[in-house]
Amino acid sequence: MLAGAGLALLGPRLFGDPQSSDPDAWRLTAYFFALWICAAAVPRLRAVAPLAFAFTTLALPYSVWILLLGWPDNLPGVLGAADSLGRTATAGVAELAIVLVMAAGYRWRCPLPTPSIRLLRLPRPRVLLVTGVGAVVFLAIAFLLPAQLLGREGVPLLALAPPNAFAYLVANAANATAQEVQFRGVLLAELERGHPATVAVVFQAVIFGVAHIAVQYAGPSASFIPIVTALGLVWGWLTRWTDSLWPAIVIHIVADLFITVAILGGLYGL
Amino acid sequence: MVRSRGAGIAGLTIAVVATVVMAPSASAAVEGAWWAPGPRIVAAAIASTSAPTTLVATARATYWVNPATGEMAPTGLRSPATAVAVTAGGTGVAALRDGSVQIVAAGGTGPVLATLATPVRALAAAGTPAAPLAIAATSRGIWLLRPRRQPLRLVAGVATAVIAPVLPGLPWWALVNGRLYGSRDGTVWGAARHTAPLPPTSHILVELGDGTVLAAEPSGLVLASSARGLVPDLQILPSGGLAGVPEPTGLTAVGSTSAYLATRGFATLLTPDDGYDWYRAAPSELPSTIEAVASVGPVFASRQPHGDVVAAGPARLYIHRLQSLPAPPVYIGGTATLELAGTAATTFAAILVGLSGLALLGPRRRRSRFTRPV
Repeated sequence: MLAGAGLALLGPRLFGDPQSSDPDAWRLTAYFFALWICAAAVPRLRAVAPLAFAFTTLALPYSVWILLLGWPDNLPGVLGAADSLGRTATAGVAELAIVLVMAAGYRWRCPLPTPSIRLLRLPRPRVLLVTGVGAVVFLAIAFLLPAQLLGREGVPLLALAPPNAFAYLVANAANATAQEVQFRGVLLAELERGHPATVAVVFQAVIFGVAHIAVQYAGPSASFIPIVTALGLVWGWLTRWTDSLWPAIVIHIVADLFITVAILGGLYGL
Repeated sequence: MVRSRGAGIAGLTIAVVATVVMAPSASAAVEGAWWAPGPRIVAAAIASTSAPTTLVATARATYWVNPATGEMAPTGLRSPATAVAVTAGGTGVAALRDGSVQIVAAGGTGPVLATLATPVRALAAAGTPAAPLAIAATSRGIWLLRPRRQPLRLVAGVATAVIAPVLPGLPWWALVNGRLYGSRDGTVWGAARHTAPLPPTSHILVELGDGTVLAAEPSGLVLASSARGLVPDLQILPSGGLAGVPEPTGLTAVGSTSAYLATRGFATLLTPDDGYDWYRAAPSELPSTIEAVASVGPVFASRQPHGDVVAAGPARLYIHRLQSLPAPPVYIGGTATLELAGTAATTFAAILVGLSGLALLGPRRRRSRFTRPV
């Protein structure tokens, strides 16, 4: 399944410029969607249909997010103006809504053993404690590490002035929550159904890291992907340990806000 | 649970190893791309100018430097300079340690404009070679210096910075007692309205081609001018561990809305849009400490950037040639259509590969309720 995804993603780059007319996210969506439909329709392949659907849950909302970000400026009252923070926030909320619907569909239709997405479990005291401590530990590590390693040189105060702050908050919270439901929710739950916990946690973290390769084009550092993979491992382990998705969601939101606030652009240097 | 913890440790080890392996190779990939090593001098001050050559002051001597060619020539000044300035026409002015301010021409030293009672902290110059005009910032105020005339004190107070207009019609600016002062012609000065004073030790000030003023405080706070006066623009963060906030050491304009910020810890940062966004200006190619930064050449002459940015490291100068970023390619007609067709075909082929793989290697059928799309 992943070999075909690699071909769908990287094949066109042999003859085209990926930054031009190449809708790479939609290629992946089409690939996994077709696999899911075929697997669901062919009895012999029916066992892999949930996994194909889990991968579709990763690809489709992201594709819609990109589509909304680049949508022409003909619906400013609905989507927000093009290239605005309002548009980013709207796209993030739409992405989260699609993810939640697909996660509910996956949970509803998935065959036995029943997957555990861990989203609706009420937070217990231990979960709340882990959430708070985890967020503080993340920020402490981020400020103790060398700033230039992370690109954490400064806070662009003009860009974060009050009119923008709310949009930044909504956009990051929606995006982080969507990613947690996708990776530590649906994907981890699907992998846990057929594999040992070790394999499930590592595999979802690797996919989480690889999925962030697109960010690398404008990202702050070459070490971004391994760091994201490591975070995926930690958050996957936290999700299993607490049996709740919420610690990972909250720490992910804190991490995304930290990146937005404190990581300067890496466009002109590593 | 035990297996899950083992997975976490193994995965973290893989991630750390990958980070260590990837980071140096990625840095090497861009080595030399942004900054080129320049002359081996330890600069304390560099003058920004739209002329092709500029003055660079070290602890021992002052030099004319042409960043485009790398040529360097001593000025012949009798003592080290505390501040230097170069007019758009290429006339240099240097303030020496004894308080004297002297004209410096490409062929040698010129007349002494004045000798002030206190050392000059900052210097700005304008005018023609025949009638140069210099403004000096000292601990006793801002002084107007002209050939064959007595120095004239324009503003009393502790002056820490003064800059000349980068384009005709723009004002002069200065910091006196931490307060921003402006002047249309360099001779009549007034405090800027709606602007709260900066810390008295602030000494970094720059004017961009569109008239925006950026200032930096020693605490790492950079401010930008707006309708509400100077407003916070960028706060530099601690460099990590127990280290403090890197101190800004210089600002220079490189266009109508662009500027470089030099720091003692984060090399250089760059804003392309009046301070709204800030980027790292290739820190991997520079030492972390940059003591001064200046732009040399016609950086405001047109929309296309020309000239050089000169950064002073602990052992040498570093030169960046200003250039346009490559424009994104424009795809028209058949190329884009063919590309999309190829993309669709490849995706279709990938789906066939995936399905074939699953059919040949995938799991055997098992009981499932997952039979129709959700």
